[in-house]
Amino acid sequence: MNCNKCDERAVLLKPRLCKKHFIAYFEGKVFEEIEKENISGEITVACSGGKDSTTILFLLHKFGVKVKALAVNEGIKGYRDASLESLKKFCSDLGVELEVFSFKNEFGKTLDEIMRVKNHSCKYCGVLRRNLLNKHATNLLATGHNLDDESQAAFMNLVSGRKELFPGGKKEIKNLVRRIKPLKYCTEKEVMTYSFLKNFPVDFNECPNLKNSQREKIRDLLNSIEVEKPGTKENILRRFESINIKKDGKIKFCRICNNPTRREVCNACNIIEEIK
Amino acid sequence: MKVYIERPKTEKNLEFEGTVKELLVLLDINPETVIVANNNELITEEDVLKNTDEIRIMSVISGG
Repeated sequence: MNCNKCDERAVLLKPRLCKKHFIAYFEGKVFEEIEKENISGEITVACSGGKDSTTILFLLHKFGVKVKALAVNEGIKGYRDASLESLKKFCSDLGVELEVFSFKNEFGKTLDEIMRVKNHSCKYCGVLRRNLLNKHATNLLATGHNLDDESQAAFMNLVSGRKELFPGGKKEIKNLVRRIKPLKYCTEKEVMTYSFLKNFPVDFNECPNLKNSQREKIRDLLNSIEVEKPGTKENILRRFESINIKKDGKIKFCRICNNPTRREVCNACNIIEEIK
Repeated sequence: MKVYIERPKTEKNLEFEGTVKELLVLLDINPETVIVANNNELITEEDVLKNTDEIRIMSVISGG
């Protein structure tokens, strides 16, 4: 089956494009998102060694943005080590500086050690990882969140009924590094296609703690709807982004670390105290 | 036909001729969640497979 723009064989159906035209389409879409952000100065890219962050690191660098890669080693045996090795090689080949921070050095325990006492690893991992990224990123933080991640997050917030977690715009908050997600309108399948065509050395392993999470159930649900009704994920994200909910309560600052929070003590400081 | 599935790592030998879409239905895999390569060239769900092909099915889902 041929490309919509030429006689070459298509590599993807939605949109139906050959390798050359898909790469041009994908890079154009990401570049458009990057341009909207009015970037100046260096960007820190949150990297895991997976396809999404590797792609955004590569594209920001390709578009001439000064980038630094920042990775977090949570300490998940048999999972993170391999992806960090791929990332080190990729950054070295690209000529980009990479800094790696670990839960063990920063919080005194690996995620595996935390898991021996606590069950909700995604919650602990996510909060602590965000805390480290905010602490060590300079100026602006780019993450590799794609359309699948963002539509799942929106749907999870809807399911939980936490209206303060709806996408909230671009307001700058003191002590919170501004984040950008240039892949947010690219489906996971598009990012994977690009990553494959570019031959990125990405790691395919799945986090062993992900099984049976609520996100996994919502991911499967959205994928089953998307295959029947293409465009569902984008519709969800665009609709959520257009919702302008008045946020409840005023932003406070954590009395321990001074990071923004809605409580007296932020989630990260509560967890750090809990796992001591 | 040899089929390599990346996640969970599986290798199958199948007697199959048909489209990629039909192969994914047979394997109970949602096409939204994978990309498929034949001899390391990306192919789409509409492409027709021969029994002698070597197919690699790669999950697009992030590791977490």
